[in-house]
Amino acid sequence: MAHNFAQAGKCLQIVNNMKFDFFQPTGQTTYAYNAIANTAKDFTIKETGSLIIVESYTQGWMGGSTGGCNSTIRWSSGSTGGILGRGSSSNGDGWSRSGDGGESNRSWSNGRIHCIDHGLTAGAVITIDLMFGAWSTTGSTVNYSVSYKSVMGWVASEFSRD
Amino acid sequence: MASTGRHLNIWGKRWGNVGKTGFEDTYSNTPGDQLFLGSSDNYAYYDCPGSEISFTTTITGGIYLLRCDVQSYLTSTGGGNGINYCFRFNGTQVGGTNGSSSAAGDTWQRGGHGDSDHVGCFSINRMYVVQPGLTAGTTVTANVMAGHWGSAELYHNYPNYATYSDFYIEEFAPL
Repeated sequence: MAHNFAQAGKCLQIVNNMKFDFFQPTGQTTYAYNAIANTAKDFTIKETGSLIIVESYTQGWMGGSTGGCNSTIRWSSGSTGGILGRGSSSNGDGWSRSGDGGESNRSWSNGRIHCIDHGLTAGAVITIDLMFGAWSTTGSTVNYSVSYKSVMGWVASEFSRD
Repeated sequence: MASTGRHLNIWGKRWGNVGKTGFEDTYSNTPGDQLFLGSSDNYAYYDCPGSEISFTTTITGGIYLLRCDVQSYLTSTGGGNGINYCFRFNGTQVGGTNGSSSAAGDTWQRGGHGDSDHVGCFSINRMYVVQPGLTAGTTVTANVMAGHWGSAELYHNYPNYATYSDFYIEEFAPL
């Protein structure tokens, strides 16, 4: 369902978290997103009700299956927030950002843009981290092995609603 | 592309089979936010329904950065033909040219091209900068467009899953 995010103005802050790392999550056949270790970072909201746009980048390897995978982000602040992209069942996310329907044993690159109306007040601490999930495969990895790392990460920009 | 002055405004859009937060526990199949291009729809870009952003310019001579993250699925039909996305800004198609490569059109090689059997999904982002010379107070509509080459079949925001896409426009002052 299409949603227009209300106009926002000047940029208040830009926060980023980049990691040069390898990650092979467990539980890939459960259609669930897994947090990518060491990608979480906290920052403080500058303005109540501001707009945040997060760009995320991951690179990996689809091995041994024709299943698909997807990367996204999670944001949280106390009990508020969640994972952008449903990851609880086979008819949920679709895992259709990288690899789904194609051949196995190929690399993938996943760039995502996430608009966030967080609704938090100024001073609230928000945490963002990267998430990775896959469909019908145990062979998909974020980066190939400990010997094949690459940079992954996210950049969050907060914009004023004034 | 033009260099810009200070950042002024930003407008965001999400469309597809989820709501505004993107983390609802159920998807809502929304045909009005999806696009399917069959094999006969080749060599041309088509508007992606639901991707429209309408806004009012706040400065004369502003510069606009368009960025999108679009969900795509290419069926096995087509034998390795490729796809691409572009934009329509204030009535003008930008960032993509209709026609085959031999007719000075797009090469359709941003995604999928070259896989001889079937392609599946892939991650694709596009960005484009326009400096249309508009006056302050002009109402503008912009949207994302999708196209493919040859007999490929392209789904954008694939039905009956929680697929969705994001698009934003940033307005900058001229230097």
